[in-house]
Amino acid sequence: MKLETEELDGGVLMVRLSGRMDIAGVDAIAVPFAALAATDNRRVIVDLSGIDFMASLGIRAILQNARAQRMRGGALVLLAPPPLIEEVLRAAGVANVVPIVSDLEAALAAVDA
Amino acid sequence: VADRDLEVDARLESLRPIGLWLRDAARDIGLPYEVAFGLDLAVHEAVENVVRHGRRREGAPHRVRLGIRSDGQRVEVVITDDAPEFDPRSVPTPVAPQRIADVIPGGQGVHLMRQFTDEMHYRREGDRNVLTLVRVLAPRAGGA
Repeated sequence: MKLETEELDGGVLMVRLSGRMDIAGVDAIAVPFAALAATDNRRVIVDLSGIDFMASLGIRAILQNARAQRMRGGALVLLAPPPLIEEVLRAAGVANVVPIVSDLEAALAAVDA
Repeated sequence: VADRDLEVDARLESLRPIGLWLRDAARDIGLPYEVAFGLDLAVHEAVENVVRHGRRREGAPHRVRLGIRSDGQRVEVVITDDAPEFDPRSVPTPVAPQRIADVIPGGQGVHLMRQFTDEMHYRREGDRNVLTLVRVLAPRAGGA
């Protein structure tokens, strides 16, 4: 898996994840991914458009990060998962607690909500 | 009828090779992407359960054997292991969290197996667990 970050205007952090989000994939990004939740009041957009597989371990990693952001006064939203990845996220109930949006405009609105 | 088998140690490190094996098999059988994805996910969760429920303090790890076959109407993956008895069908459907603070890690694996297969069969055969995951090669009405 790969993790790339980019600071957007307005202090929003874009995190692009790509690859196979299985146990090995989650292990590969565990340290930089967890570090994203080490700052207060951070607004994070996680772009999932490059993810081609996600197992429950990947879901757990996203939920833990989203919860950590929330506890530090920040927000995390998921952007543009491919259709089957979105099906996995919705089946696991992720959409109840973490916004899943399809475009950048909606993502920017959601992290400020 | 296509038929392939793989036998590996019941370790988390085996999940990648299992995924590659399944991808190759799905390509050879000519499975639609959506079906291959669903089986990949269900198999991943099933083997992770075998590893977690079968951990031993010492000695060699348990073994997992996988087979995939299709008759063109349906495709089934049979997962056989020598870990302690565990019927994934006995795991209740988790309650979906309504607030991020209520999120409990785990518990989603078997739920995803149900959602992404059409049938899930389990039997104990001697000292082995035999789990069969089925996808019907036609539009899917609902989960297992």
